[in-house]
Amino acid sequence: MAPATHDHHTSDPATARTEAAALFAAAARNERAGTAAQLHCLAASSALGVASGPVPVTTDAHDPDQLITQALRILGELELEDFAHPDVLAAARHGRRALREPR
Amino acid sequence: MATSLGQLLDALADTAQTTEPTAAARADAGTALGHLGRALAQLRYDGVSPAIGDRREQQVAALAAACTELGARAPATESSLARLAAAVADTFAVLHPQTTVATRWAAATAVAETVTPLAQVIAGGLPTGPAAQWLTEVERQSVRVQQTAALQPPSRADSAILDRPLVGPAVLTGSDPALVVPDAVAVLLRATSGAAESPSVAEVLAYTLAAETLSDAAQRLDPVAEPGTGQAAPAWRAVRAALRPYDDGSRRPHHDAPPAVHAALRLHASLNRPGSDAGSQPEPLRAAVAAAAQHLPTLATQLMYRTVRSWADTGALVAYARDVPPRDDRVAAYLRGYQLGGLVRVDAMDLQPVAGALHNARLLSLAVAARAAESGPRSTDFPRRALAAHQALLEQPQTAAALEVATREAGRQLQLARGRTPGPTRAR
Repeated sequence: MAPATHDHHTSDPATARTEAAALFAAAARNERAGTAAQLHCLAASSALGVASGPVPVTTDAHDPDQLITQALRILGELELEDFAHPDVLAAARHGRRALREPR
Repeated sequence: MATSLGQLLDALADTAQTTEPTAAARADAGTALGHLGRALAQLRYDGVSPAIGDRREQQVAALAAACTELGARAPATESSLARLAAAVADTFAVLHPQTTVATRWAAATAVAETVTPLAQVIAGGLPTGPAAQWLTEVERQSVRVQQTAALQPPSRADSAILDRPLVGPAVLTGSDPALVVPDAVAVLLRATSGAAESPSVAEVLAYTLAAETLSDAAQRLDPVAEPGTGQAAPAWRAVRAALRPYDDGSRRPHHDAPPAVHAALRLHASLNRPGSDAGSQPEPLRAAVAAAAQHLPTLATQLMYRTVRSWADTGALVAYARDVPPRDDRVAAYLRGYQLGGLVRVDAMDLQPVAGALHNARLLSLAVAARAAESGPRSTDFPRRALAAHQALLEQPQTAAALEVATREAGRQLQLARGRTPGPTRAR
């Protein structure tokens, strides 16, 4: 499972979910993220219902906010009906809340 | 007790999620959505994007219209959901002077999130017809706003508006310091938020006294903090020292204190009781102090950008030319000394020492607020979004140097004030 580390548009909902979940998972274990933000990221990753796998170590170097923002962008670029799925809505909500939490 | 927009929205979402979808609950949720439509329409009217009529504005307007139409079709009722949503909508009117485009977008996204659980209360119980169609439209438009929010998420600084305390009763009557402190801070933020009616010098002196006392109490929450480093209380004292030369006629005995001054004095008295030490206080008071300290930077910002700016724009203050930064066009007034002819009307340049002192107080209050959040207990309604905004600012690379400069400047202003001989009208 390779997380997206660059901006791009993906129209395949399954791929977008996988990429976003990996980014949320990476942010959830990032030491620079606050506890509440980590929990929201974990919830976002879980909400997407993607089978969990090892998170690439390379993502640890990133700012957690960047990882979350990138995951949100991937979800935001889905078609409206795909974004409207309750799992995706919940993940996006947790992602936005993670960005509001203290670090 | 003071509440906030974020608390109201959280309570609304929690109540909706735990409500059984009975006919009465559906009517209540429908009415609540009508109120949220009113809130969103107000946000849209005030502006939620820098460019007029762009995607954000169109989507918020469409969601507002759908919520309003659905609310109009709900049976007339008012239970907990409708009351909370009405409070949310009214809150936007109260917060209007303190909002910007970016903070209104943050608020609109938070409202759109709350629409989803309310719509779920109604879903499944509506017969086919206009109301069901409007419910579908509400859900669709809510998703669109949330999708745009995923692409353009509000920043921490902008989301802090959700934690801005709202004033309860205008006159504080309680005696428990743990209740007086948050209510008083809400009153002070309200009193300094409007540009139309700026407070007098005497009122600002009372506000800064309360801010100094609160800063001092917040500093003492951290028992291992090194004395003298990054302390906000001296910076707030320096603001009062910087205000000494200026007068607007309010520096005289008053028979009655305005509600905001009364609140400031209550806060000062609550935290300044004999033998009181924030470190050894009961946990509710320590939590209240840690939470209230999160709003000190906002108080300094409002005093700087609204009150002082208003004084500069209106020319409401006078000072002796000898007490303000020297200027070529005031030589005559300067030579007249401390006599009537030596008075000059104060403008923005003259007020730079006050603005500088407030800038220092804001910076140092940021540091104190972050430390208080780490050291003090956090209640469930702790303004964590405001803390997140402070931390984001403190993490900026230039902030550490700015804090050192602010500490030094505040100390210098206080020393200058001690060494200065007071002029004839500077009674306080």
